[in-house]
Amino acid sequence: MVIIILSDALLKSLTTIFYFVLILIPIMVAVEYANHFQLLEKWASFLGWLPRSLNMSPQAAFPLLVGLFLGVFYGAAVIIEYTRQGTLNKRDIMLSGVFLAINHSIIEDNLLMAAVGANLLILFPIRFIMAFLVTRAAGYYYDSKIAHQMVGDTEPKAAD
Amino acid sequence: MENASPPSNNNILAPAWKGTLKALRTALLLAKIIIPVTFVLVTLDKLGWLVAVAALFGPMLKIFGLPGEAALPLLLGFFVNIYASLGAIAVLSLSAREITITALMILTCHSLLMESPILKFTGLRPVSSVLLRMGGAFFFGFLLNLVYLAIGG
Repeated sequence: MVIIILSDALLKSLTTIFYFVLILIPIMVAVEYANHFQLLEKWASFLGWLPRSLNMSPQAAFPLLVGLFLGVFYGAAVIIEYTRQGTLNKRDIMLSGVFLAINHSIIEDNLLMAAVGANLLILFPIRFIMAFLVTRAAGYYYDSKIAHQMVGDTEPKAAD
Repeated sequence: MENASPPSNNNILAPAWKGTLKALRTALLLAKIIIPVTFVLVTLDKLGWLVAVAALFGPMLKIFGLPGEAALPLLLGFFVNIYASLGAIAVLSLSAREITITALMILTCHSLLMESPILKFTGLRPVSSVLLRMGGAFFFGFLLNLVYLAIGG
């Protein structure tokens, strides 16, 4: 009984870990090369559509991109840095948080789930679309709240 | 010029090496979580306790089209992290449809204890982000189950 449990558990966990290693090495190497060639900075200019369609200002592209590809920790780090610099307004910061709370590290997490048998073609688009819709809804909520409070300070609309 | 070229030659392979090391370090971290989780779950399974858990959560998880034992990866994912839930998914024998629904719910809402403090820096209070993500997970799981039912998957 004990032998069966031990061997069964060992076999199962080692197979799982083996698949993870297969998936993680190419991902991490790609991430390092992307960092090396500063690809995310370059792509951010092509990804203007993402903050635009989320009704956010274009400067939000880079933190969103970092969060999407590298994970919520790195995304938050960029957001903190941008907050300190005053690059992002309050609305953008909040909405980036909402978007990244639901949808982050899209490559690694999705592939790990696929490794244990989830359907990537369903998982990936649904999570993206849901994060998109929730962020839009949060944007409307934020705007209506601001309009309601008649806050007349420097809070700008998302610039084009 | 010649001074500058050797380091840049080194640099071109350095990311690959660094990435591989990072991957192995992550895998080691995963192993530390997954091996104990797998041992506990396999033991619970062999002792027949998984059936008890399944019976407890079965009625609730029907909303998402999931069997009761899917509660284990969900709870592990919500409160521990994705890696613990991966171990649980690998041990349980769920169908591809059930794994996809569970995965969507966990990816929406995971590592709450660790990520909520991080998200605080974006002006999302932990209460808001937890409600947002847990509500999102339940809602998306519910919707995806409806989609599966509609297309008969």
